[in-house]
Order: sequence, then structure tokens, then C-alpha cells
Amino acid sequence: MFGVKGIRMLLKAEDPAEGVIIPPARTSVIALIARAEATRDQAAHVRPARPTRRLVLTTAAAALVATVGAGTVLTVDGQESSPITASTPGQVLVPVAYQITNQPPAAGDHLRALASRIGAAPYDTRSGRYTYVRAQYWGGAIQESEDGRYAVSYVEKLQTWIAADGSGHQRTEAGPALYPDMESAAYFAKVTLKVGERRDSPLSAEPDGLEPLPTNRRELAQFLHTTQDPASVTKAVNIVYSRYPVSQTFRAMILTTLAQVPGFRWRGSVTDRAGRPGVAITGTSTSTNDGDKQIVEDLLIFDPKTGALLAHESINNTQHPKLNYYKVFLDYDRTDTIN
Amino acid sequence: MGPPKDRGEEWFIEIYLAHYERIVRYGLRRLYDGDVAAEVAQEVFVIAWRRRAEVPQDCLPWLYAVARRVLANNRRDGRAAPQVTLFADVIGGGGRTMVMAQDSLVAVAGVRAALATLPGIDQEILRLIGWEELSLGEAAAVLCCTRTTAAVRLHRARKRMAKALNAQLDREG
Repeated sequence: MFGVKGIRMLLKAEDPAEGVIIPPARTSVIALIARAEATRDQAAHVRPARPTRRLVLTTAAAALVATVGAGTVLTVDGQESSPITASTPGQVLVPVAYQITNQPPAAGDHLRALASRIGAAPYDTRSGRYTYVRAQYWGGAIQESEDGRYAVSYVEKLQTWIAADGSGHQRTEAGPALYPDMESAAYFAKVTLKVGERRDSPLSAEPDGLEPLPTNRRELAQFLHTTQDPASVTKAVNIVYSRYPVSQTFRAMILTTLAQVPGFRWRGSVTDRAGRPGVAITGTSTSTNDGDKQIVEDLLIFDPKTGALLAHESINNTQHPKLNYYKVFLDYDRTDTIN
Repeated sequence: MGPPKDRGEEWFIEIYLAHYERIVRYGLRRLYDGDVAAEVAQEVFVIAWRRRAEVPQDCLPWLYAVARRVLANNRRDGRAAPQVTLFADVIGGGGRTMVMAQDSLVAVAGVRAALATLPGIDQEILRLIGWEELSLGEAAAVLCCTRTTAAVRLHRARKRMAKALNAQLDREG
């Protein structure tokens, strides 16, 4: 095992900031001080921090979770059916409701059955240089209050065009701010948040191109990190659908590979945030963050007709269910042009 | 009771000039986005001015601790990173290299991929030591724990990192 010097040598070779020229600060010291003073009053009114924001839910927020029934879902593209009352200062995200909430069965048999009956997707017959994916996610980057008790994240609309060599284009557009709990919504309603913006970024080709999706089951299982916890597996599935053209054959292989992973539970029919019907599995992972045990449930929603991934969500179940992250896959295609 | 008398604009300019770039790099290493990293760094210094009475003389670990809080990106083990980088981290597209470590020759394939498999706290202490080049005591200050706790965490992180690297090498035959 390596010592401190070994760690430095090991990591230095992979330092993302190595050789990067940092441009001078865009804001003067005087402007920073003015900004600090302008928000001083607000900071001064923050109550002393509690142990962990994620572990605490107010009575109001807990009541909210308790009253959210099946079918109550925040949808994408501004078509939300939020359970929040008009007096609530912001939109609070709630977890997707499951058909099977108590003692869900193991997912294996259901996933194998799904894999055996899926059909073609519209993009299966299309061709083109780029794989096009349109998605929307929340929780990619969390902004927290100074004391860490309140959090906000923006909905991000994402379009990606990726060629086999990894080159292409990525377009992101910041949408509205949403909150994981009512306290955060109330807190950030008083704070001036940065305005969302659209960004276009070219993607550079990777030296060896995209690593091809494995064609045999054993290698696909490795590719999907099936020996690791469900959080790692679901993340890998998310990434596959974010970058690759996933054919009907691969969709079935992914489902049957997931069927062999112990720990995934079948949640039956669900409605995703885009209002689409799907079938869902969940897997629970535990980790320790700064000494606190965290229980996180990852949810994958599949199209019951094509087997394609519709959504991936992560819910912190350490105490009351609270959304960490969601991503809905809205459109797949193959194209020769970047629009 | 206000801030100490020596915590005026001159003091602030001094720490800003001395540490701004390091805080941007800290953000860059965790967000892979220079613009966002610069915004994070500015927020860190806004907080530093507001809480200047609390800022210790050796302020860099304190600034990193604030930056860590501002980023708040380690709960989901890398989900704060842009999609493309996330992919590179998980699948191992982050590069391959051979490194001669201090006490042994370690063949490393996709160090970042191995790092990404570790729990968030393990990743952070390794990054603080490896990338920010902090001492154990300074890393403890960033993580708001005792030096002893940091030492235990580092020991566990090193073991897990070695295991992850070995597992990766085994997989690649």
C-alpha cells in the first residue's frame, strides 16, 4: 500500500487542474465585500446549524411526504402537478410513487419477463453519425446555504450528440430552481439566485473512441459494475443510456443482466416525471458520509414496451424520503447533424 | 464586538490574492467546470469576509472547508460533475498511466476510475492529500474532524484505493 508521497504521485498524474491556467478573478475585492455586506442581514438570521440537514425534516415537510399519495408526481417541462399549496414559496420535489410500496418482490423474474417481451423503439431503425439524447435532470449540482441546512438545485435540460469516437456536442439549459424540502424553498425564496443560462460545449474525441458496449453477458455485467452496490449499477445504466445507441438486443441484455443483481426489488407500474407509464425497480445502498450512515434508494424506470430506460432517480431514505437526484430521458435518436 | 482590527480590506486582499487560485483549482478538481469553479471561489471569499472574525491565521484549510460546503457535491459521489466527465470517471476513460510510487511500483489503470468507486469521504481525503497537497492536520481541519480521525480515514481510504486498483487490474487481466 502506498504512503502519502505515493498518494500524491498517484493522483497528480490524474489531476484535472494540472496545467490549467486560472484566469484572474472577474470580480474585484471591493465588489466581493459589497456583495458580502449586501447579504449579511440574511446570513445573520440563520439559526444555528443542526447536525445534518439531510437527517432532519420539518413537521410541515414530513406531513407533505405523508400526504403524497400514489400518482402525485412532479412532471417535467413545466407541466408539474405539484402538491404544494399556493402559499409555498417554491416547488418542492417529491419522490415518484410506487405501485408496490410494502415488501416488494425481487426484481429478477420480472426483469427477465420484461426482457423477453420488449419490442422495437422508433430509433432502432434510424442511422446517423451521432447518438442524440435529450434529457432533463435535477440535483446535478446542489447549491447549499452557508450553514449547509438548505439546498437548491436547478432543473437542467440536456441535449447531447455523441459520435462513436466520443466527439460531438452538448447543450445545457438551466431551468427553474427546485428544492428538496419546504425549508429550503422558504429560505432560497429570499435569496437572489443566479439566472439560468444556456451553454453549448463541443465534445472532443476520446483517444480510443467510446469503449464499445460489451456483446457478451459477463463483460456487460462488468461494464455495469454489477459486483458493486445498486447505486453504482444504476449510475452505470444511466451513463450507458446517456451516451450509447442502445439497440433492442442491448436493452434486453441490460434487463437480464440487472435481473441477476441481488438486491433489486420490483416496484410495479409507476408514472415518471414526464407523465409516462413505466415499470420500476429499486436498489438500496448504504454509505457513511462524515460519520453519518446514509441510506440511498436508486430507482430505474423502464418503458414497458421497449425496455428503454425512461428515468433514474436517487432518494435519500436515511430518515424521510427526500429526492437527491433525478434524470428523465425524453428522446433518443440517431442523426448526422447537430442542431 | 466586531471583527478583529487587523481583519480589514488589506487583510482580505492579501488572502484573496494568495488563495483565490487554489480555491478555483479545488472547485475545478471536483466540478470539472472552470466557470462554476470560479463562482464557487467567489462565494467562498464572500463568506470569508462575512465571517472574518472566525477565519484562522492559517486560513487555507478553513477556506477549503468552506469551499467543500459550498460545493456540497460529495453526497452523490460525483453526480455534480457534467455528464461526460461522470462517464469518464466511472467507466475509466479518465486516462491510463504508470506511476512509480514511493514504496512500490504501482501499475495504475484509470486512477480516477478507481477513485470514483470509493465512498465520498475516502475520495475527499485522498484528493485533499494528493491534489491539494495538504498535511494530515490541514485535511482534518477541512473535514472538521480531529487529526486522529483523519488519520484513520486516510488509512481506510488508502486500503480501499489499493483494493480498487487491484480489482481494476484483475478485471483487465
